[in-house]
Amino acid sequence: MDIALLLLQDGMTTGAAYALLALSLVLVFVVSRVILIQAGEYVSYAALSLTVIQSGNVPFLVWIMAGVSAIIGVHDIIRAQAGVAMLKAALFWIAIPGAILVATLLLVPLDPPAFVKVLLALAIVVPMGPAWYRLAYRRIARSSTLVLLIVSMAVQFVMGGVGLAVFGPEGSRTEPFSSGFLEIGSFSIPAQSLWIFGVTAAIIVALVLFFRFTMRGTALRAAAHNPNGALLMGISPESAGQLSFGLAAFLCAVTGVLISPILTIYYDTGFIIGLKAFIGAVVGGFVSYPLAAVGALGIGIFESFAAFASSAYKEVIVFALVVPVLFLRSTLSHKGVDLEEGFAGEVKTSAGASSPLVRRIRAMLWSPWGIAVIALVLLCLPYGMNQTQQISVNYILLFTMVVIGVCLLTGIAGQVSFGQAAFVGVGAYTAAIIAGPCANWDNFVSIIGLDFLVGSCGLPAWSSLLVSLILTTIIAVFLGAITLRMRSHFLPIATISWAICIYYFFGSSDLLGGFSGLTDLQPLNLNFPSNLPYEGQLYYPMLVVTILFFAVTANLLNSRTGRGIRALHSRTVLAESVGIATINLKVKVFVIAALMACVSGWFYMQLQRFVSPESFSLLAGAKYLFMAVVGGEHHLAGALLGSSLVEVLNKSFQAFFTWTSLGRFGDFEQILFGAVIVLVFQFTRGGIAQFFVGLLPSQKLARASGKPLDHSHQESVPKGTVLLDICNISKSFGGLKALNNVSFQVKAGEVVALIGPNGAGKSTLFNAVSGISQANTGDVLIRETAVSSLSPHDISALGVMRTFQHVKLLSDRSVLENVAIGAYRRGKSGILKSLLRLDRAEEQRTLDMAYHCLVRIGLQDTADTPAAELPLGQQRLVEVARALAAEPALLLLDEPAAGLRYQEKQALAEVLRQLRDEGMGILVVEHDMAFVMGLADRVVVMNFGEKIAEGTTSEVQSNPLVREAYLGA
Amino acid sequence: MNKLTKAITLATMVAGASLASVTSAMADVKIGVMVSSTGPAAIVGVPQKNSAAILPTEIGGEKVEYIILDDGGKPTEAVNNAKRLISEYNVDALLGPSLSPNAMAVLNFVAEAKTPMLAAVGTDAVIYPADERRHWTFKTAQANRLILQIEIDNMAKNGIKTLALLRLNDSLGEEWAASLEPIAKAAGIEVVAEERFLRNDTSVTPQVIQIMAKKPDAVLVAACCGASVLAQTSLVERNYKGTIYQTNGAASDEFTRQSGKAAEGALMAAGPLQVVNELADDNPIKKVALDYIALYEKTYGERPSTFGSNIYDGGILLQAAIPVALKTAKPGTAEFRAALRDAIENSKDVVGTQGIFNMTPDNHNGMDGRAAVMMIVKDGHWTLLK
Repeated sequence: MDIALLLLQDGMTTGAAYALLALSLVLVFVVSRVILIQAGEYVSYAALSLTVIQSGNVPFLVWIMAGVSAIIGVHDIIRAQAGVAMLKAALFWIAIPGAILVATLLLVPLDPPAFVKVLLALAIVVPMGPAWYRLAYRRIARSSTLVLLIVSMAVQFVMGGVGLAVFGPEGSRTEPFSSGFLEIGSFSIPAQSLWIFGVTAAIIVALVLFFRFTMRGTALRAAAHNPNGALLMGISPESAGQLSFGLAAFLCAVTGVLISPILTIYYDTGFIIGLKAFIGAVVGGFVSYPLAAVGALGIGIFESFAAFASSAYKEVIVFALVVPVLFLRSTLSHKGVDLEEGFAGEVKTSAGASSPLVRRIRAMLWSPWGIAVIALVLLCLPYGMNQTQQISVNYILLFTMVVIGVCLLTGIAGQVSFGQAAFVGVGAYTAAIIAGPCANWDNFVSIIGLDFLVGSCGLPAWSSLLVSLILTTIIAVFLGAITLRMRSHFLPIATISWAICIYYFFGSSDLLGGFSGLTDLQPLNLNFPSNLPYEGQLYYPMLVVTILFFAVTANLLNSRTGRGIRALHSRTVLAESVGIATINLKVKVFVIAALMACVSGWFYMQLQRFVSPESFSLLAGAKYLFMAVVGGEHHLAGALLGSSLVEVLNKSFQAFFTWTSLGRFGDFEQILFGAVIVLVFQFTRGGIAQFFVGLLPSQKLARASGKPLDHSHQESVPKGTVLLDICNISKSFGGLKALNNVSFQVKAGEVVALIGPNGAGKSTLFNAVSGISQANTGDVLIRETAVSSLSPHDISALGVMRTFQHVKLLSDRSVLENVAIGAYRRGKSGILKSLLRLDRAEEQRTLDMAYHCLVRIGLQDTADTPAAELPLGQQRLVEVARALAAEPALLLLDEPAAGLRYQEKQALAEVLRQLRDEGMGILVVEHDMAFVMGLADRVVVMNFGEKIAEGTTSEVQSNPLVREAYLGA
Repeated sequence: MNKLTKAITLATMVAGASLASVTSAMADVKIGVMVSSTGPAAIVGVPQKNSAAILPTEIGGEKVEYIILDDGGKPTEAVNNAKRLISEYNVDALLGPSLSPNAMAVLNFVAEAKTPMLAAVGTDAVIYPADERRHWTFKTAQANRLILQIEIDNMAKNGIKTLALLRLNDSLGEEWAASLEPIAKAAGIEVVAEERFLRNDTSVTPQVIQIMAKKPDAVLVAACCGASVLAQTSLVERNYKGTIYQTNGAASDEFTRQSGKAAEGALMAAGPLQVVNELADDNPIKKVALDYIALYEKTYGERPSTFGSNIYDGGILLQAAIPVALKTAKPGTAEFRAALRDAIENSKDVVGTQGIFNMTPDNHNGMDGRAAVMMIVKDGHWTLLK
């Protein structure tokens, strides 16, 4: 009992520090969508500055702070149009930081009272918050959360490097505010802990009050989701961003000065504290301040108990717990399908037509001669390089293998994963144990109790590849099945958690040599070409595998499954509606990416002949993601570009600093590296791949062959069969009744129009029918099957297709490809066939079908245009064509005529009439009365969630209730 | 063809690397220095990097160039740096790496390249067993076993029967735990608990509570630097009444300064550098150590830590061995590297800042009992235990 209380108190002290940081993370995220990876750096900066001040010196950091601020200030003054802006810039960026500098220089030698020193330390650190916002984030405020996250990582590199250069590697502690213990009964609580509790609680209260009850606070909160609203309140998104970064820096700095007396702070201490705070904030939901604080506190307490229970596996336990907690949160928080807040951001359309010069170069590159030259260069490369360059090239290949998977998983399928390094580790460790020296194998089999295998000395090296692939598949299926169900923000965090778990598992497990790793591993027996060193020989199999990965991934993307994978990227609702089992497909993509990482790990072990957990840490995982985004994660070529850029930058900075001896004073490589990445994102929007897109082999847009169509799939339903039977369904949100006891039917061979004023419940009804949400009571029967417990893709299997009120197209893909997605259910080719290009015949049939649907809707001329380039009205028609491609029995259309011109409406109505005559049942929600009245066989009128009328157009027109609803009479 | 591939290579690799190789073609003897001067072990690597930079640039009439590369604490980078120093700079010997896993990782490659390496790490695994792989590797830091032996002897003398180990959960901690077991057993001391913590942990109180439940006579903290401080203060804060032993990872003034009153009475075995002023004047180590401290302070304005001296002692061993090797071969050749290795293996009574080296084919460390002494914290400073 005593012990439990002690642990609780210990955990709460740590947790309170996490809580303060968690608040700042939430604050910044809510306002600017930036995940403040560098939060921890402010903690170390403040703590270490305080130490320097306490020792009677002026921290060099104050010069950096004032210098950087002054540069921003001068820039802003030159750029400023109005005198007020000039004055503001001068005051904010020059006068205030200057005053802090002067105050520090004057006060520190006087040895002021303790609280003045604390204030100075805070004053030095806080201005860096807004300064960083101004430098790194302002220009890219509208980028995807993922890009913002990557920029945060780069900022963290810079701040970490500066921290080392300014403060040195030694840790330090500051003098406590108050020493001694508070005795409560038999417990003694360190006074410093009380300070931490008190300040944390006070700040939470202050924040809640600020955001609830002050104008500025409300506006700040609004700035995140509603920039116009914030502008109305006189707050621009920029000043909101600056303010939130300043507040966050303040909170972090306060954490720093509070914990520095109880903990030795190093220049890099902040990162891990920041990470735990981050996890805590996410567990708390990442939007509410009190909940984030509670979550962070919980992490602290749980950590304390875990350390007591098993200090060796503490981190494994803590982070393993996070995964199910996130899973619960993510499934409980919103029912139904993904809200589509894409963490990975929208896929941008690629830049327009390339210049003639670029086109000529491209033609040269990809002509048979060009390809021959490229192949020859690749083959001869090892003969023209020294060993260091060869190793770099090998590393680029190793990275590329992993990053192809990351591009596929994150850039194209939209599933952000920080955990790929863990799979690299699985590949490397498996190879190390199975094909390493006999000692590793003997040790392993004897520990797992298979003593009879001792002395058998492992298996041949190539078989270890097979074993590691099988192992990776098992692990990836397991992890994927849990984590990929989570929604946008939870997924990356979950991957961070299990990445840490696996890292510490590698490190804490005696089976795998612990943190010291496994050494003395055997090289592969290659001996070809015999005149090259080992690294050069290893280059060839790695090159072949990398090219193979590129080829199969490109094949995969250019197929039925590929279209499905693209639809996973922030278009899950669409994917489900055309019959894609999204979670299933996500897991498959995840496994492919994991297998690629595993192969890279296997080669890594062959190259390095040494494995230790360090190479498979969270940081390594983040680096792969980093490479993908820097390279351009939406393009496969981004994998090669990102890997090359990161490796070349690293190596050339290292060479530069070795050459100039500058590097002896600090980690300038890291600073420069981070700065370059920040700059890359200031001036490009899609990674460096966008500069090279023009040079890539021109993508063959899927074209139709014009062969006769094969209608064998279409099942004919006799006219008059009840397709959709809605019986007494009701649905309420909170207290609001969106649907109240609604019933009607749609039969084969008729068009039913669903009309009603805004808010009548039409969309809710549509969602209940297509499985996006569930009715509270009542039944929806589609062809006599109750659908309430079915997922949207199962409902689609019953022969139902829908279009969306808010158009959901793959904006960067061609119109024809978009239509072909609709035919997903009609195809059978799976991933394996697509990878190996055995799906061509079926693919051709699908595209013919899609083209036919386009012709039907009158859009055949736009087949090769990227969907985003069409006007909105035509995009709606593409949605209709996509639905037709599935040849559904029941077609659900959500405002198909909105935005269409008169002729287009006429044409659409004509097509729908034809479909009806062919026996299709059509339910159409529409506001355009002329369109509805000319088309519908029956009309259902809704108002305030109730059906108020049903009948032929003339019956409905004469209904007094309808008149009242529309005309308000 | 070769020209074309070269051009493409250059384009991909950027000029940096080639620039470096141009400038390095001038000096005569080349020494590669591998340190972890950034990342989690920067506290170890930075003084080592600084110490390498003040090593003499002329030995036996030959110019000596030191090429210092940082591995950020990552074994992967250490291997890459070793390969690079060997193949690109054609170094005659290697100093470092700073960390045990990094040293273990490069072992195979230096053996294959037949280049002598003077590792500045604690683990004995880099030199034992003295086989083919370790033929080219030497170790300049005190063996962990030596430190532990002296501490365990002291425990036995003080009548300590039960011991708890509070160690870092990393390669350093693993090494201490593995070395402790046989030595404690031989002395009849029972290890009743082993708890681990991380360098960056915010609290070790749970582990301390767990240890105190086992009521050990003494606790051995196998950690380094700030982590040693955290363990020390937490034990004292929770009123642990037994004796606290630290390892040489706590051998710094920072430890006593940061632990404050909590450090009083802590015991440790470490290199004599920490208490150099208390050494007898006839101790040959004293002069070498004081010279090193003076040179370091003059250059950097601060006292060196014992980590830096491990690299510096490697430099001292080279100063003794290079003139011998120069008699048989020219620097930059395989013969010179072999001669240098043999000369280092034959080092006799070479006085370093931390001890006196007497190498043999079976002992590539060569330090003896003079390389570590028992110390106790008295009045806020490490002092010789008398």
